[in-house]
Amino acid sequence: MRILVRFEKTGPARYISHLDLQRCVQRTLKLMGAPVRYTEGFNPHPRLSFAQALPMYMESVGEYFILELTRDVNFASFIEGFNAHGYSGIVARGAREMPKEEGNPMNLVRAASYRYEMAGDEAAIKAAIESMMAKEEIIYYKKGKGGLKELNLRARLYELGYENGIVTMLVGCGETNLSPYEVINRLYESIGSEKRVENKDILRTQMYYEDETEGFLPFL
Amino acid sequence: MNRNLDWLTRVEKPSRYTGGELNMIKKDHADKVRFALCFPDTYEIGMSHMGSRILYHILNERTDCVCERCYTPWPDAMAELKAQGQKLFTLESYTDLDAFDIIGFSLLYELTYSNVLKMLSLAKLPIYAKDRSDDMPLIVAGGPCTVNPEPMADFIDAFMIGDGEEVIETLVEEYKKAKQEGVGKGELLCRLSKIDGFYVPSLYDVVYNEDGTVKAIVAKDGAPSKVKKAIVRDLDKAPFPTCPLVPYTSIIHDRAGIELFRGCTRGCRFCQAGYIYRPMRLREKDTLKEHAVTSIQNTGYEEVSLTSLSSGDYPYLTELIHELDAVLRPEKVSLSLPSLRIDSFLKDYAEGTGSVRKSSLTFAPEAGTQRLRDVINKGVTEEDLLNSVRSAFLEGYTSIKLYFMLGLPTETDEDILGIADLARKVVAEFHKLPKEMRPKPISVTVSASTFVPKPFTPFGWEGQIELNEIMRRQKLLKDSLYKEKRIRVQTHEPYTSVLEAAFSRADRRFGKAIAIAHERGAMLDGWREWMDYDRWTTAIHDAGLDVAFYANRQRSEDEVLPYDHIDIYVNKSFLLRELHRAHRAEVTPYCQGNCQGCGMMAYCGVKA
Repeated sequence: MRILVRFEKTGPARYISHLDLQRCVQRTLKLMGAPVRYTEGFNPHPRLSFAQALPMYMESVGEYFILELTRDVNFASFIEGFNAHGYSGIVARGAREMPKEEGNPMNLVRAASYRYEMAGDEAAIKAAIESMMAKEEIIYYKKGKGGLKELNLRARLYELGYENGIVTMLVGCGETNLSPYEVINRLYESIGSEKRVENKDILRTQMYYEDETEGFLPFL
Repeated sequence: MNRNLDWLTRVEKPSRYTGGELNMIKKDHADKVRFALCFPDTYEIGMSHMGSRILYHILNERTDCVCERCYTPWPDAMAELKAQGQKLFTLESYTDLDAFDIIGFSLLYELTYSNVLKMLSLAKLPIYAKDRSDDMPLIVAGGPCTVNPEPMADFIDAFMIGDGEEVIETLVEEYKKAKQEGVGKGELLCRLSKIDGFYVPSLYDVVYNEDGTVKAIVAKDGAPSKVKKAIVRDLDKAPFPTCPLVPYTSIIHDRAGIELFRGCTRGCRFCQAGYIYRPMRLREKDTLKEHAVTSIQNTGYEEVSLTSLSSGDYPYLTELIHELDAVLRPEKVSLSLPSLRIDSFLKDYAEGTGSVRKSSLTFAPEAGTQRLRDVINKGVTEEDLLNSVRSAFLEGYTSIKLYFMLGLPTETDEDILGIADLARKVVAEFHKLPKEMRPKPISVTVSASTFVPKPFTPFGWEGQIELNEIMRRQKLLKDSLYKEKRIRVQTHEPYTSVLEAAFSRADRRFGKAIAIAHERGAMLDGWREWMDYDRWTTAIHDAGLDVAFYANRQRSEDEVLPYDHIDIYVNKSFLLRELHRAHRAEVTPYCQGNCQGCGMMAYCGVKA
């Protein structure tokens, strides 16, 4: 059986790298006695993969990994067991079966939603958002292997809103990745603020795949 | 938690300060003796220390006690603490260090002494014991360095010398009693001084001769003239942490450590651990199996490490390995045996562990010629080494590390060239194998540290060789192996070795040098990027002292040593006898079945 697990990475777990996260999850699976399937060969490791790495210091309640098991499990017990043996800040929230034919979330992820608490003049921020969303092109530069790459931010910005002091957005994730801080910093700029966002103040809330007819859908 | 920890995103490895690890114990502080266990080095190093794990476990098992941890912050975090106006805090509850009742430091390495002072000042506590009032925490220290507590005597209220398991509980009990009776720190310390294992430096005065050597160490207020170290008689029943903390990030020893036995009976003449941890006390095979299995169940570690000073001397090792392997292999847990003497390297260790991952194997011949090995009483032969590496190669190991020391007493250039010889012979042994058995080329690393004479060893009267001579010998070794493609040479930083030698047998006056160096910014001296040799030599000079007096001077046999008032049971006459035998290149046999009269006698379970 292959399961998809949704988990949180918050609190002290914010400060660990993706590699360390993988190690911690592996350890938790071992401690709970999960019937994990291992790779064959010289250095066996669990058949476990994560949808997308979370930038350091960012918190998230919408992270995912898939795991191959040697037998079926009860999802509720799995989650309970995982959390009973887990590290502070790494908490499983949901699980469902995800058979191989559905593909790997790592390749399927298309978008992610984020939340950011932004203090300021509501009207000004909303106006800035409107003007951003009205543009067809917003050029930004991303450091790539061959130097700086020129990209269109707007093409990867699907939704952007501001309500009760909180910015919410839906942006590209995975191959069409757009970092939330690019969007937020642009907002600060356009309302004339010198402030810039830090990853630690951003919360990833969900990850999505793309359905032909229904658009972006959450994994779980 | 009210502390603003936003600065965590501005420092390297923030997990060093956050706590939250697997199996962390967080307790309420109310109505408990609050103990802050401090390791005077970084988080990664401190978390690997088994002794701290044992004490954390013992103290937290008590319902009347709460024990939290603290480590030396990295300088970037030190700067943030200062900028934020925050004091050093513990990881479990982010409580200020100075809010604890007792602060205990583990002294494992002399160059961490400056970190002790640094942590005290980051906690905004006076570094000198005499400047601390009764309402400030009691500052104690334990660990192997405490057998010569004198350099830290001005800063620590009480040292705990010897095995820590029982005295730590005695400390908590005495502390509680003192609090209940409304008795002050001075009286508490006086009471502690009368208990084996506790050394209260303020109850001793040191008088010096004109030439700088110690004239006398005088006990007062009823303190014993000789302080006996603490010994845990029944190690098998001693508490052992089977639910150790597992960090988020990887640390130095990412595995479950199991202590086979304490003490050693080989009598290598340079090795302090071999004398100060006597008598040899074993744990039962079944106890060890239980420890191993429970530890794995509670940590998910993928490796169990069987540790001791000389694991091959554990009488039931073969059976233990086989029995453990049977239980661990199905769980995909491998076994490692780091401290295996060359002459007891078991062919079936390599087979029996079924270790899926083969990394490198380490041997410690320590000296390059048989003559010098006999002098230091490390009686392994070249044949032993080559037999062992041959077995290792047959098991698929292609990476060998060889530990040696430079600057051993009576060493000549011939002995150093002997190191190169041995390394070449190891490579040659590999090439004797048929080509099919050599899928990868061999890699041999020769690691040559510099000999530091230590208290309570036969070589404790020797002087370390001069700095220039250290460098010359290092160069000699490197040059002789320069052309060897398969052999790499690593040497220890010579300036560090000189300081280690000065600290190790220093007297109480040296504390002044440590305080001066601390004031001038000394910290993290075990780290190459932070150790400032000139700062130390200047501080030592400004304290009116001389590096050479401590590091290089040959002690006379009738001299009063700064640590003569500490009794580790192994006596001076035995050590001197061993020193004389060393100079005659006479080997002293392994004392099992052949008691050499070291002084443990009444406490020794080793069959005479």
